[in-house]
Parts: sequence; structure tokens; C-alpha cells
Amino acid sequence: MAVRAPSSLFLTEAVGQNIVPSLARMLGGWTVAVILGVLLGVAIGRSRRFGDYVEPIVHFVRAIPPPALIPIFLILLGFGTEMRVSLITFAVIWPVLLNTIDGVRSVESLHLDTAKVFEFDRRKVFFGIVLPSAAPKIFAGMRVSLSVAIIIMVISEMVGLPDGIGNVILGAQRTYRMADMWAGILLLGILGYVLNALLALVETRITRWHRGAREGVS
Amino acid sequence: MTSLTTRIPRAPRRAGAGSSRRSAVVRGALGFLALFAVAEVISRSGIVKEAFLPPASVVLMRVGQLLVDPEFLGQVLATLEAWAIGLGICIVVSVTIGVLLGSSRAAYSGSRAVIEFLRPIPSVALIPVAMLVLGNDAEMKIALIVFSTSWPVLFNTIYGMHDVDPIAKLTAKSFGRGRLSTLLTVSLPSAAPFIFTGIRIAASVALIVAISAELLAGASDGLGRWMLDAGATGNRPDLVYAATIIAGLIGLAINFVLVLVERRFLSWQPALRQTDKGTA
Amino acid sequence: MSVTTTGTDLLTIEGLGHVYEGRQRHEAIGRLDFTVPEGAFVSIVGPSGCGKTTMLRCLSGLMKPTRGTVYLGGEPVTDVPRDLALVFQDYSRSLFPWRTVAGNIGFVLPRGLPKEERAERIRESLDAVGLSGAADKYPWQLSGGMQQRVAIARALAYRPKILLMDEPFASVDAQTRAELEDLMLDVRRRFDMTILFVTHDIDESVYLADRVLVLSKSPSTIVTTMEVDLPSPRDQVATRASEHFVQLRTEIAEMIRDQSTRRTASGAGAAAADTAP
Repeated sequence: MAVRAPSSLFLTEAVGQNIVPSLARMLGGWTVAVILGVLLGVAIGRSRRFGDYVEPIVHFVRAIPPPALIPIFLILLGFGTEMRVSLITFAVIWPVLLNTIDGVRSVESLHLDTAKVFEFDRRKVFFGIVLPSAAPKIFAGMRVSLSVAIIIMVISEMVGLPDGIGNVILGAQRTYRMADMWAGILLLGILGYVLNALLALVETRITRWHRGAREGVS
Repeated sequence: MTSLTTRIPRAPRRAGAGSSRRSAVVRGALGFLALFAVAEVISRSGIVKEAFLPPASVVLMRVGQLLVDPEFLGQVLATLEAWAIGLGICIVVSVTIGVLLGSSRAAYSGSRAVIEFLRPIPSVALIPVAMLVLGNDAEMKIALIVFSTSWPVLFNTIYGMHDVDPIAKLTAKSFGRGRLSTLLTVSLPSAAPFIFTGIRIAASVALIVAISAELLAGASDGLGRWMLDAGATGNRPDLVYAATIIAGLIGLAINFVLVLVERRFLSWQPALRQTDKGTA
Repeated sequence: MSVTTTGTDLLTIEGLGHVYEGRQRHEAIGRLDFTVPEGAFVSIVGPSGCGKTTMLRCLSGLMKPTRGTVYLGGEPVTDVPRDLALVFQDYSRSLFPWRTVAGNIGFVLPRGLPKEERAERIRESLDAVGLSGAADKYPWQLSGGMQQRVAIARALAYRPKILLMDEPFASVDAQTRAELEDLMLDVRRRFDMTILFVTHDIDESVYLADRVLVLSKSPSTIVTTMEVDLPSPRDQVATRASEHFVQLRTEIAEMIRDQSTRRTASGAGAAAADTAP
């Protein structure tokens, strides 16, 4: 167990063994959360009745601190990837879900009236008005989710099978490889920063109208 | 975590608001009942083994038992104690620093680089560091909580201080108020809603961090530790599920109390007034 | 009359009334009976809060009235009819900010429309409102008056038989307002359209219309119907300065004033009668 230089953490086989699987799990869990969150959020936001049935459950379940689910997920899903991805999905779905409900419900009523006047069908109302109106809020939720995802990724890697960045950091601490430990922590900071910047870039492209309309000329 | 601070507007209810609110409560209860029934059936029918998913009725019974079990409650108390102390320190420290940085442009731009550098580091990544420095006792938990919750409070405070209407400050000045007096009577109250938003986020983050630390760092006590013991060591999934539900109840209770406090002290805030009108 | 009406009524309103139920019961519309002949420009003028918007929502089928029926081309209106378009007062909330000007107009055209015809209709309607150069702009990049032009162009491209307008120029400045008024007269001539125009501005109602309906305060009823036989084409300066115009607007203004004072007077009278032995 030699003391390695921190650079080796990034440049050696560690990249393939730890960083790539970590990122894959994080992005996988986040993607699933975004898809489920938007679908469920649209359903709750659009249907008063469905919302009435489901919303109280949503509010209860989201109040559970995600790490408290680790024991259950360990029991149900084992010690590997399934457990980690599910934990990430569970933890990060809430910002997307709640923002989607919010976005879908706060569609400008005059836009809906306009749609009625010009006889839009349901599909056109949904894809043409509801989704674009809710998009800025959905994106904001996705951004928050991504920053939470990186945290939960680390947590999920500190239990179960030994792989991933979180595990490397914990292992480095246990074996007193301080340089590796700090390198791992720094790496997480950089990852979080880069991912957030990337998503912000996509967001500004897709919802360019939103900022323009808010800063408006009129 | 931030999800705690999101307010969902209620869908518009038209005529007969009273009766439809009643039907919403009924539907909500039916939703829970359905969930309960499905969980019960899945477990009893053996679709999922009972060792993985105990029947919902058993879990609910365990919740009842745990809620009067002094030993379990002691563990919960240990978690909540760390939560409260951590959050308290965080509020005092972060609000003070935030007010100082927020009221002085020079101090803010001087410290900004450091803050921006530290911020993206996930607090849980520091669990190993904290273990190393502070061992696995309550101090470790509290230190982690303080570190991870400081950011939302600090940023919201700075932001709130920058958002204070300059005219309000000038008005105070024109009535002969000094710097300190202006700070206390104008700046702080108008930054309060922002600060409180930060505190709401911090409160839920603190609970997450406390339980994470107990689960991952092998803390000697706390709800997380208890769950780990019940699950991995004790092989009692029913207790694990029950404790998870109780964790959710704690989360709900914290959220509820914060909403009450916010309503009580910040009722003048336009956003709150609107939601009150909407739900009235 | 200067209008080319065919004499048949396009829009018929029979015994329309609306009451908002709820904690505070509010009778917005008392009873309305009137018709809008095909090809006519009818304006409805009334004090603010007289239930004009409620009325338009009922006429357009956005809202179901408590009493009465609206017929468009002989058919009772239950949902928003295909032959009807509505221009809202609040253009900034009615246009879709995530679509360009051309996108906003194209959006309301039926999906099956061939590409060329789609482009042609967008071009034609933008041309009619004098915004040919703004097709690729976003609504929020335009001034208020231009945004309302886009909303009008959108309604024109939809090719309705009747255009309802809900105080469309209430939130633009006076200069722009005059331009938009003339734009409406021009559009009406070009597209041979029937227009029902709601406003609180007496001068505007007279300047634009062939017929003015004067509404009372809510619960609203029609106080009077006035034919406007001013010559066409109308001119912002000459028409407004003409003796006849002044006479018409004065009559309407007096009517609205009397109507509101009479109501308070009769209220006071009733109170006095109650206390009388």
C-alpha cells in the first residue's frame, strides 16, 4: 500500500474504475429522476383529482431524509449499482417534481383562454403552451437536483461495494493517504461546478425567451 | 433539500371551495389507504419476500411501539440534539458573517473568491475529514452540520442584504438614524425573508447530514446508527421501515414548525400574504 | 349608413345575464338583448366595472352565462366557435413569449394547412398591421402598441367571421392608440370583417363604430343604442372635430352621467321612502 501522488488518482486506472462509474450512476439516477419527476409532476399539476390523491403521499415521502433510506435500499436492492442509482433517483426527484407541479399549475390563464379561442386541441395545449411555460421552472428544478445528485452519489458510495469516488475518499482517509483524500474532495468540487455550468448553458439556450421576456423592452 | 422551500400553488378551486377541500382531504386519505393496501398485499402474497418488505400493518405497529420506546427515543433525541446545536451555531455564525459581508461591498468582493471556491464541495465528502479530525462523536456530526448548512444561510443573508431598498436606507438616514440603527431597523428586517429561506433549506440539510454522518461515519449514537444496527446487524427489516417512517415524520414536523414560525414573524412579506390569500 | 351590412344578424344575444356565485354574490350582467349585423362595426361603451369583460367572455363561449343564449350565425354558442376570434386587452399575457411574432401567428393556424398557405397568411396579416419587418422578433422585443398589433394580426390570420375586442387599446399611449384605431378601420375594410369592440372610451367608441351600445353599471343592461352616421373614411382630426361627432359623444357622455346619478338618486329616494311614515 504505497503512498501515491494525487495525480495518479485521476490519471491511472482509477479513472475507469472509480470516476466513470460514479458519474454514470449519478447521471443515470438523475436522468431517471428528471423523467419520472416531469411525468408525475405533469400528471399531478394537470389533474386536480389525481393531485388530491397523491399529493399528501408526495409530501410525506419527500420529508424522509434520503440517507435514512440507505438501510432499506440495502435490504431491497443489495450493495451495488441498483441501490446507488435508486438512492440518487429518490433523493433528487423532489426538486424536479415540485417545480414541475408548480410550473404546470401556474400557466398563464390568458394563454389558456387564447388557446380556447383559437381552438387548440389538448395535444397542442400541452406541448405548445403548458410545457414551454413550465420549462424555466423545470430547468431550475433540474439544476438543484443535479447539485443534490453529486452529494447523494458520494453518500451512496460510502456504503456497499468498494468503488466510486466516495469510496476512494473514505478509503484514503482510512489508510491515511491524505493527498488522495483531498484530491478526491477537490475533484468533487470541480465536477459539481462543471456539471452545473453545462446545464446552465443548455438552459439558457432552451429558455432564452424567458429571460428576455422578464427583462422585457416594454 | 431545496424542495422544502418550494411552495406549490394550489390548483384553482372554483365555487364551493369548502366542500372541495373536504373532498381533497378524503382523497388524500384514500391515497394513503391505497398505498398501505398495495404494500400489504405485495408483502403478504409473497411477491416480495417478507424479509425484504414486511407487511405494512406490521410496520405501522412497529412505528407505534417505537414511538413509546424510551431507548429508541433516546437515539432520536441524540440526532435532534446534534441537529439543533449545529443549526443554531450555523445561524449565529452565518447570519453574522453574512450581514458583515452584505453591508460592505469591499468585504464582499474580497471574500468572494474564497467562498465561491469552497461552495461546490459537497459537505458529505468532508465526512472522512471530520472523522479524522474529530473522531466519531457528536462534535463530528455538529461540525459537519455547521459546515454544510452555512452556505445556504450565508448566501441568502448576503443576497438579502444586497436586496435592501437603497431608498429605505436613505430614508432612515434622512431621519438621523446612524449606521447601526439603520442596520437593525431597516436592513435586517427587509433581509429577513431571504435569511429565513436560507434557514429553511439549512434545517432540512442539517437533518440529512446528521443522519448521513450517523450511518456512514459509524457515530456512536443517533437515529442513523440505530437503523444501521437494526438492519445490518439485527436483521429486523420491520424496525428499519418503521424508523424510516419516523424519520419522515420528523422531517414533516420540522417543516411544519418552520412554516408556522415564518407565518408568525414574516406575515408582512408580499409572497406570504399572497399564499395566505390564496388558501384562505 | 356607411356600412355594407347584408342586413342579416351574425351575432344575436338573447336575455343574457350572469351572476358570480360564491361568498360575495355579484350580479355582473342584468339582462342584455342585442344583435350585431354581419359586416357591422359595433362598439360597446360603459363605465369601468360594468361587466364588459364578463359579457365578452360569455359572448365568446369562454364562460357559460347564468341566463340567456348567444347565437352566432344562428347556432347557439356553447364552446368557443370556430368563426370567432378574441383580442384581449392584456396583449403581453396573451402572446406566447417563447414564440416569435411569425411563430405566434402560425401557431393558431390549423395543423393541416399547406406550408405555402401558412406562410402567405402570416405574411398577409403582418402586412395588414404594418409589421412585415418584425416576423422574426420575439413579442417582448416589441413595444406595447406593436405587441397588440401582433395579437390583432394573429386574430386576422385565423380568418374569423367576427372579431371581439376587449378594450384592446386601454394600455397603450394616446398616440399609438390613434394609430391602432385607424388600423382597425383599415383592417375592417380590407378583410370585410364584423367587429364587436368593447371600450370605456366614449370618443373611441363613436370614432370607430357604425353603432354604439351604451351599458349601465353592473348589473349591466343596455341604456341606449345609437347609430353613428358619420361619413367614411374617418379621420382622426376632421372627424373628431366635426359637429356631429361632438354632438354624438356629448349625448353618450350625458347618458352615462345621468344614468349613474339617477341610480344613486333613486337609491336615496328609496331610502327616504322607507323612513317615511
